Amino acid sequence: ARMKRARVHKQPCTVKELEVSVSELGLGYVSDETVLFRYCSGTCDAAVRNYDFSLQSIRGKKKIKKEKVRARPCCRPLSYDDDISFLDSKNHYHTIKEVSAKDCGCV
Amino acid sequence: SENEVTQVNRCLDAAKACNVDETCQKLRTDYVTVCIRQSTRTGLCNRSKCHKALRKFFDRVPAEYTNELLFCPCEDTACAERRRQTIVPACSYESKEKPNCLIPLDACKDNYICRSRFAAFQLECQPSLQSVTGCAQENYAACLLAYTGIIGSAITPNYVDNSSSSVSPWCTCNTSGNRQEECEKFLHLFTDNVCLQNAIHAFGNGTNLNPALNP
Repeated sequence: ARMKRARVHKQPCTVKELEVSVSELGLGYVSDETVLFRYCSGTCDAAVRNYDFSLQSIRGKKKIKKEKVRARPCCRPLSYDDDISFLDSKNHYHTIKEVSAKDCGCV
Repeated sequence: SENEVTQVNRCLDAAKACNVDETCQKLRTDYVTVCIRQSTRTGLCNRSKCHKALRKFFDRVPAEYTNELLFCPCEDTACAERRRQTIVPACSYESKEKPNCLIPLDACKDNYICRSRFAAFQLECQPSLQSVTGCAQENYAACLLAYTGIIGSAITPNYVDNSSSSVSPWCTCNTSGNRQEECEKFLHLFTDNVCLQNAIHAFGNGTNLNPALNP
């Protein structure tokens, strides 16, 4: 289990894609239509900046206490795919925005 | 078998194929978005913009995707209703009242794109009782292409209901006066066309792949 976890951890932040039904998106739409869902996945170990080290250090010295801070970069979409249209189970069309990632990066 | 739970819905499969193809997905979203948008002032869609987006879709997306969306064979109403909804008929097709067919026909003749597309449809889907295929030109693919070519024009055709594969433009030939014959000739090119019906049917069961005729 440790080896598997270690291997998964090595993957740098990148776009992955899955074919999912519109219903599975969990946005409240009921449709059997399949769409391509792209998401960001992977580590940002290589993207740690002096900012992150400094923030960790200062937090460690209790100079920042109450605020919620994130001292590690995070793998997130930098931009989103084009809109997606589909026909729902009641035969109404919908267009949804910013559902799927286009580019990912460590921010 | 009779216990089959998951029914095949070729029209749903066609939507999936389009959604996972970048060009098809984008241009489908483009026309759907335009065709479902309602003016806040009038509550109506912009039919001419919807037609333009539909023409762009059928002109630019390869026929392997567009034909599956438009001519997918259906055995139940869920499938046939999805097929009927392909062109967003509430905006692109229907209106409050059915006009006389001579009104859209005359509008088509006054428009360069529509006139040439309709001429192609008349030629490629010309029915013939002497031909095995039912088509004077003996070419199903060309007939289907010509049919999709007039979607987004004044004479946009669609399936008339969700229980058959009958197609028609949104009009009737009631009260055509002295142009009754001309009107019916036009309407029957859709509603009573053995070539077009055979072409749609052959696409559904895959027999259009080899258009070569048996001797």
